[in-house]
Amino acid sequence: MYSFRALFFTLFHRLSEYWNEFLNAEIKDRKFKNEYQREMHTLHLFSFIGAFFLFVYGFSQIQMGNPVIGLIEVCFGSILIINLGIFRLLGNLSIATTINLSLLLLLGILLLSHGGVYMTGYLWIHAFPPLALSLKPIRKGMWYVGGLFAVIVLYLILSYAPNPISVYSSAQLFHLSLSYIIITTISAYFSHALTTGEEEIITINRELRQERDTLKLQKLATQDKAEELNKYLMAVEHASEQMVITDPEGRILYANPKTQEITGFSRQDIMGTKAGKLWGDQMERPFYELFWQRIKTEKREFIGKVTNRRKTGQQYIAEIRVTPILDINHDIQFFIGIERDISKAVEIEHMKDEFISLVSHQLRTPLSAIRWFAQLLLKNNSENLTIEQHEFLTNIYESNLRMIDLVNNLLNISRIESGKIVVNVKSFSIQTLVSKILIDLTKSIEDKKHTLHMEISPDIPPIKTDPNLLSNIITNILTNSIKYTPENGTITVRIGLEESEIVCSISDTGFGIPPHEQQKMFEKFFRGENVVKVETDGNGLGMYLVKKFINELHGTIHFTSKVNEGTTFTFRIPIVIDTSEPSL
Amino acid sequence: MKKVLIAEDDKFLSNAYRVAFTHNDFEVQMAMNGEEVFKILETFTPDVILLDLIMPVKDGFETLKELKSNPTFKSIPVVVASNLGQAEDFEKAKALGCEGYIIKSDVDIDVIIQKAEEVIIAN
Repeated sequence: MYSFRALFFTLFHRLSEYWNEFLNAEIKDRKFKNEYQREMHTLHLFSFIGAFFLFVYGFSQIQMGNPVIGLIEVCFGSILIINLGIFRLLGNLSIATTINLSLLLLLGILLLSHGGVYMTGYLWIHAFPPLALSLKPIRKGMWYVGGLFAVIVLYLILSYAPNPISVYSSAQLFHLSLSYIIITTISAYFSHALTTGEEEIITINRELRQERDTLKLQKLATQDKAEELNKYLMAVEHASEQMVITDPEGRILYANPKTQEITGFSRQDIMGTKAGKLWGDQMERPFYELFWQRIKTEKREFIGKVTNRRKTGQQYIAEIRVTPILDINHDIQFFIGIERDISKAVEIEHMKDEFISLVSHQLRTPLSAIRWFAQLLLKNNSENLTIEQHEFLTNIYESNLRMIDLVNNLLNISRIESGKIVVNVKSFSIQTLVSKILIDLTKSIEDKKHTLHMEISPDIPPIKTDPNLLSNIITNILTNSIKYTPENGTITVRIGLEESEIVCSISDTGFGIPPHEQQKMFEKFFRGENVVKVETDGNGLGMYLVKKFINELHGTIHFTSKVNEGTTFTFRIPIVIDTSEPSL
Repeated sequence: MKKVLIAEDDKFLSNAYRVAFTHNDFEVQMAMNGEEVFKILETFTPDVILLDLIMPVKDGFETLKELKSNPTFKSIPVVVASNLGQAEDFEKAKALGCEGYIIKSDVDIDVIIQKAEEVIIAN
């Protein structure tokens, strides 16, 4: 609130604003500038008219033999002109007021001794304190006021002397000094009011400005927040998943449109009701016990699959995530539930599994029959076969083996890609595992007249990892080495234990992998361009599976290869040494 | 003479089994499904049972479960010979008490005969 001082200052300030701004020559606005110019002209006009009359009157008084009166009038006229000049030329209020006050002080002294025109000096002197204290700051103004007061007191004292220098009597001077003090006091008060009022106004202004800035910022923040909230709301409203907010008891406070779409319940059905009475309550009791235990007692997120029911009664499978939102006291404020209808995905997954099973069983059964009958003919009836028939049967048998191999690889890929590979860690002897592999591969090694070097330490104790996957890895690499090495080649297998890793390297003297194709080595269906021409047999899945199996066992594999010189594959698989059982 | 009861619903594979096991001096009885296994067991006590898993009427898992929970038959060794090759099938059959598990397409028939003989000896 404005105090009286502030109000007074404001009024005064408004009046003097134009003048000050004109003096400080800080007028930028053309419209205002024009207004000031008009005022300036008026001021000039009045000053010149005033000065003109004062000069005329002053000079006529001098001529009429009243030089002091005349001089006073001329001084007044001069003050008008000098001030005007200083204001115009320097634009400096301080200098102008100093000169002004000094001249007025001088006039005051002259007026005290000569009384002015028709003894008006007495009145003019009363005008000095308000003028001095309004034009100068109190302290400086008081010097001028005090100076004139000292002269008044001096004149008063001298009025008792035999030769008084003032035209006024002692009583008049006494009254003058009293009224001078009263006017000074009133002026000082108003001046003080002006100064403090200004400070107060500045403070109020600053506070108001700060308040305005704060409000502005708050408004912006509120706008931002509102926009952001709107964004969130839009996101939730248009989300492709069911989103529900409930109170700590599970009563639904909000449900997005997708909820209605998935469950078939209307907003009226949903609001304030518990999910159990709508789409839930399709699972066994222990499931819900575990669910509430998790979110309400442990205050942790629950993620799981749940069977729900639509309004029509149709069941569906949903993946749910329910998160408790806690306040600062760690109390549950509400729950946020996000559900996704995964019925279709589950169905597809199921179909995929069925397909794998179908391929696995239905394709392998006739392949087994071909294999076995071919084998029966080759082994049990070989004496009745011609050489040609034997050869043809062998072709059938081997092609069938390739087919079985392809089916097995495709099954493995399907399992890997659907994350269905189960790593079955067991304790086993690496030596036994390798010798079994070599027995299976003996025929193909002999057929190509390769020399096999085997370096495996008999000291390696039983290890723990997945023997099937490891066997698959070694078999696949070794089969490739045998296949892609020209006859009479050398194949070297080295197996050792380094700290807690089994390190296996398999080298051959084969065709090698061209450098520009080496980065594709472990890609699905990759076959080197140099071997495709030589060996038509091969599906490009073996090394892809090797890499995948090694990944499953957290191992690493790398190779070095030179065309027509050979390839060395080295892989490392972390294992645990089984100290509980003796070596097999 | 060694006696084998083979449960296999595929007629070609049954035929191959019969030929191969007969050649290897086995007395062979063939069943087309699990029900038939128990019917045959009423009159025939094999040294080993070769059991397929996917069969009509009563499948291999069910048959295996019943065999191993039956005091009369639980001592007869069972080798599962199936084309189901997933780890969970293998583990399930193991848990039900089979003495061996063979993926048919991965082995020659003489390997199956060898396995049957091994199991008989071990028993």
